[in-house]
Amino acid sequence: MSVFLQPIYTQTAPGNSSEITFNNIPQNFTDLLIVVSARAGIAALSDGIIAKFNGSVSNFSFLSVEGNGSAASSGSSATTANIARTNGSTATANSYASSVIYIPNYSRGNTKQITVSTVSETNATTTFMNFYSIFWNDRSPITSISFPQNSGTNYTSDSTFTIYGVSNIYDTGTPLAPTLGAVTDLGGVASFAFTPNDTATGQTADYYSVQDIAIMGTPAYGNVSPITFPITTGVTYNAPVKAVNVIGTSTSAMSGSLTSYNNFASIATQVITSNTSSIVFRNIPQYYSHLQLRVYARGSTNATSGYPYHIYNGDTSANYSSHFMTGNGITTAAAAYVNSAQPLSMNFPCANSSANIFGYAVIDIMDYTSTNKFKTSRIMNGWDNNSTGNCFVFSHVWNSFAPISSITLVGWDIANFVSGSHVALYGIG
Amino acid sequence: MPAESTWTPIATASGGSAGTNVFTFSSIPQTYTDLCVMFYGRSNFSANTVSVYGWVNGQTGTSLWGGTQLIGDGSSVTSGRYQNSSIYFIGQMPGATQTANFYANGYMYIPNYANSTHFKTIMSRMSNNQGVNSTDGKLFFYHSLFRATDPITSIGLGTDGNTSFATNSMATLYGIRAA
Amino acid sequence: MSMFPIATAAGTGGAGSFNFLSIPQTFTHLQLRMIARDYIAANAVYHYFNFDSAGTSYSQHYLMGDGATAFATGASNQPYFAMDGATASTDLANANGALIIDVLDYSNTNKFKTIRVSAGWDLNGSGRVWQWSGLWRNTNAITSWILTPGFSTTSRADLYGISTSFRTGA
Repeated sequence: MSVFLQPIYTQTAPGNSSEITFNNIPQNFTDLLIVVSARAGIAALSDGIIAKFNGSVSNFSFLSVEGNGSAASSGSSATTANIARTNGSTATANSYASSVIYIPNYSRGNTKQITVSTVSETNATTTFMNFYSIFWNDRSPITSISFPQNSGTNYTSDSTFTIYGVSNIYDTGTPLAPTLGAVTDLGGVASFAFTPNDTATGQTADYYSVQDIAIMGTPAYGNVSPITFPITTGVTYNAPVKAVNVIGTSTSAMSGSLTSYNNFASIATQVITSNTSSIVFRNIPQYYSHLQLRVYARGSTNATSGYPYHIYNGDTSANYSSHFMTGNGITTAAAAYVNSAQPLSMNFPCANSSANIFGYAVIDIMDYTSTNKFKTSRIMNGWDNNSTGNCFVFSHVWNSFAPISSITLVGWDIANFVSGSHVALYGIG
Repeated sequence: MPAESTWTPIATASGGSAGTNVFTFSSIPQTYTDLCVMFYGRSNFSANTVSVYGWVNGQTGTSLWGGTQLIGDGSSVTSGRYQNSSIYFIGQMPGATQTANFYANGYMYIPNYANSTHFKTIMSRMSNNQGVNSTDGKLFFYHSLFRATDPITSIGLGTDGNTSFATNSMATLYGIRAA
Repeated sequence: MSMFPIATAAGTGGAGSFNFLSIPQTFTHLQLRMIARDYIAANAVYHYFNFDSAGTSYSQHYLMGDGATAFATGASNQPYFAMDGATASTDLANANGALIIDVLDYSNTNKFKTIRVSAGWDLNGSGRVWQWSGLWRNTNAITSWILTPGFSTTSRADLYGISTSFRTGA
């Protein structure tokens, strides 16, 4: 590395989230530095942000020095730690708390000592500023950092969180060229696998990039293999992986001509081999435009049929609505579930239906990464028993601006998905 | 031509080797605007808590240092000072009798270190949180003055009893360039 | 590289100001690093953004140690930031104060601008250590930054821009 502050990740709060999370933090820096500019909906001048590393709020303690506009004090906690402040809703409008968090030796096998300076300024007599010394009694390398708002209220949009990497290694030469691995068409994106060759002291890469040599266009960047590079169907690409530091750039072998006619890629498939009450897809890649779930299923409950539903990002609140219309060969019907925590979205045959009869549902989720849209899905679904059966059309909405990173199918009315059921998730470029 | 880095690591000193009783940065290039030392450390001195202090240009026999401090210990905030000292104070770190794997961290910022017409200032901060089972944890903030106009060409860091820094202790010197 | 030097200003020894004008809008955050000695018998560092220095748009608070006590206080509805961080012209010769001022999201037009300041000076028998916070109640992007009242020839201020990342790590 030859850069003091290498920006790693930045997130801007979407406005409806009380926790911001950074995953897959690269382990090749010496220290981390994080800056936060935050405001939340808590009805207070100021509130805290809890320290949470690797998904855990345990094993933290902290010391604090505080000024509140009229007095200085010192405090401590032996259970949890505040890592920063947010301004609250009663603080001066449009004002955001400002914090800097320094985490040295975050990737080594020692306990972690964190230094924080945070101010919550408002045009009032009472404000808050703190120095924190936070101790995390855990020797694990820090691979993810979350910022849960203390009161659980949402961060205001325009709250920003940026992680920087700090390195004490001084590069004296151009990084060594990486070795290109497999280049895989993922439908809408190409995955460039590579092996860094940063074995020579003083010749390490700050980051890696992929960019077509003829078309140029916007490069794709990354710190670890693979790098996903957006591609347009029918366009031919030929690109290397570049290793870059402030001294210079080196280039891997070329990928060779890559032309994709595939805009529909399999992300993951789950095959059910025993009764399963819920099916979860986590860490959904964010580089597609849309998602499609194809569900082949049967339920275990003692009924002819039943209704499962699906939710996103583990949100189990009444933050959904769904509607359907159905026909069974004789009659039609319709129903609605508004502001529901169980937004029914499919119908499948169950134990009292003829054996070996499964139903099928195709769930299309458009613009699943948009931070400006609630998430709407369109579902075509049905099953037939040779004498009975149903066809359904469902609509489903999640009232959230958050990008979808996980999907959970909940058995609910059907109790369990039985053996033989399977669910496939696809990304559409 | 690639742009020069604004912050550049100049050197790193590590603890754990026999005889590493001090961290020394010598022959500091005079081509930057400011310096910053990032410190992460523990001492092999037999105590729960040990002082961390420093000196510049090899001068440990003079009385040219003074400083103002603000300290929080989890129950109160106090302010104090030192003056006419041969060393400057940064704070405290865990010693050999403290629970294993505890380290302190801090930084020292030295503006205009290469100037030859004014006294030198150090703004420093140290965090020494020693966990829930200890009452020794403190936060330290110092602003220190070295009453000499000499450019800073070396920096030394040491601890009580002239004992060594523990394994995994580290200090990194950075040079900062202005426009 | 994500921290870039933008400009530097040096003291003249008389009345005047450090003027950072036409600040590029291509960064995300700003940092000002300053060593300061007033040309007058004061410790003042007055500063303001975008030539806004006559209204009531500023507030500030601090936590301070003076070598004997620690305390905190503040002020609202001020015409500019009025901070102490410089040594005075009558103080121990050759001694300067030091300040580091951070402004996050300085070009964001949905936010008022919060500053976070670490500052201090020592004279081998007296001194101050500060943490300041300040708020400029204006959503305009910061395009200029003026610091007064005038500083010695040994004083300087260095302005840096800090960029951010294109990746979310979500």
